Amino acid sequence: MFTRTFSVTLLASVVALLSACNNDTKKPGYEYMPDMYRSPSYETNSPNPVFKNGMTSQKPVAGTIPVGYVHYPYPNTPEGYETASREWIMPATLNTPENLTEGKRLYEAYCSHCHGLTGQADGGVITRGFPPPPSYTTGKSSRGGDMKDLTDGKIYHTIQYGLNLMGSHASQLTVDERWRIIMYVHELQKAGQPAEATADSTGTKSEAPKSDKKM
Amino acid sequence: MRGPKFLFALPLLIFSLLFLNTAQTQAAPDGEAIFKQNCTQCHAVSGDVVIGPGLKDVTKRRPKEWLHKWIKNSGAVIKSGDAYAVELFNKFNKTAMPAQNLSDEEIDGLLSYIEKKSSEAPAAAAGAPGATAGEAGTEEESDNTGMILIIGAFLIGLVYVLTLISRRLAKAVRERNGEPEPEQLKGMSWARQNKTIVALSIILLILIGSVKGWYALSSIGISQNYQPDQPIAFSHKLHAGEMNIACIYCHSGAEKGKAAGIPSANVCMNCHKYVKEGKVTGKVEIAKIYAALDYDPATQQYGPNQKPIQWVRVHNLPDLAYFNHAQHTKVGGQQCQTCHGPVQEMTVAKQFAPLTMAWCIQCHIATPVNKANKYYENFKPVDFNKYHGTGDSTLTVEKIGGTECSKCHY
Repeated sequence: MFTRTFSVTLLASVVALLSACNNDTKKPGYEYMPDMYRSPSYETNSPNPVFKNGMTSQKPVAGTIPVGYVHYPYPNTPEGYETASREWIMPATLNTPENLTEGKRLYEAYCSHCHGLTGQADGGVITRGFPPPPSYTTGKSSRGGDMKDLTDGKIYHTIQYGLNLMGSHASQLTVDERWRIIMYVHELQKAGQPAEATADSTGTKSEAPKSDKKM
Repeated sequence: MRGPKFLFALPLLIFSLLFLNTAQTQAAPDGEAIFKQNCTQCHAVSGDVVIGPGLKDVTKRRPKEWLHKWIKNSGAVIKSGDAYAVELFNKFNKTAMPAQNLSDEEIDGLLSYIEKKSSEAPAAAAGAPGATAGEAGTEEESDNTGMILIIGAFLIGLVYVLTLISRRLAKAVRERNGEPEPEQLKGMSWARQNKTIVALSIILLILIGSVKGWYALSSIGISQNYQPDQPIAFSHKLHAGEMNIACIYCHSGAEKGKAAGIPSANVCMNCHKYVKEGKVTGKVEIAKIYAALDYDPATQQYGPNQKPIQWVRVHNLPDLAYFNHAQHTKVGGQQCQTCHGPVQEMTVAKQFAPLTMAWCIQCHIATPVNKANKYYENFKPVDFNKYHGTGDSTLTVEKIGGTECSKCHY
């Protein structure tokens, strides 16, 4: 009798304690008033029974133009590429030191994991075996010419449509963000060792902003 | 004696193999370098299509003279009306391969590199699964709940066996000495005999229970450490940590609007058009992206039956609180990790912060406004203290109204 009662009590208490500690992290847990947490309104990415495809985030109706939309008129053809190179030029008003700094930040977020922090195609994805893109300073473009001579329009065209293994980044970058990135890519084309060179060029730029950076 | 002799021979064997290997590489001078520099953007050495065809066994498919002509100027070969060339051109969406400025020796080196790779491809594939198992082992996270349970059960078992033994021994001693069984153990329960112990343990249980219960109650509505299974075994540790891809590359809405956003699958395809096999999960997980997009990696065509990938939401604020990502990242200059924790170290994403109102408020009280944001130059602390009279010159989020109810609840 002694041992049975004793051990049963002990066992029960241990089990009770352990079950109280054991949180199932696969479940979000209990909520006081679930209808206040999960109201009937639909969130951006939530499923939606109202639409045929079951998604809340719908594609805009064909032909919709967002406010401030900038139309890129050149098709994804070699001719379009060359025309863009001649005609699609960065607005001179964007050429400020702040925008270059912002361009550096955006480049590091959107480009550097392949093209590398210094434009030498040594980013984290490349070092794990992804085929490297050509270097901005020494490489050759597969559409002809040196990477260091790429113009505003050519870089924009590549961001818009992608090229070879690079996909289109149009869904991730706004027009303004692309121009800022292009500003910084031009710095990388010139420099080669941007860690110091960028800081320098940012400094010099603030004194003498160049509006015609066409090559 | 046979064993040691064999061991002596082993290094010699390895050395000679190594030597053979280097000799082989030297026969094809810069083939690998040339391939990596000029070809990998569009071609793989395996049979897989990247942009252009896979080059495995290309030297068996086409004569060397043809390949030389093609590599130097593919456009000219197509124009000359070569049937194979025209068919190839049409098959790959009429995208011509740019003319490569390579000498005959360089092309020979390149071709022998491709030949060598084509012949050794199966061996490399056989090696892969071994590596997979190794990496999966290290990725596994430790969970010691099971261990605690086992130790607990073992201790209970030990106590039971020991009490049993001590009882039997006491009984044996009494029997040998001819003593009678003690009165209190005859027909009376142990609990009745030891009322103090029973009462104490009940009180103790109630105490522990209420403390545990209190904490359990206060954790209702808090999903900290919530780590659900996702439809695709996507690892933030691999993508954001090891490969250094920035958070906003995929969650590009975080700086532009209220929702950080789940990347649409076209963002995955920026890399996974090429990367078809992972080191840890193999082809299984990446194939789920292709399935969602109705994409055929062999033909590189997207089909019409596309379905969204139903990721499980980890961070969820109740609808009664308004939260805007852009307001915190772009305006306030906060890092993603401030609220989401070290996501770049998480194999499976989990909720790092409690996301309670107290947690929001303590940060709003402690955090100075983002000085890099020019807007706040108009918010001079001096003017501000006129109304609040604290004399504290740090302009915190609280001082510009960051703890007003209607800031978030409206």
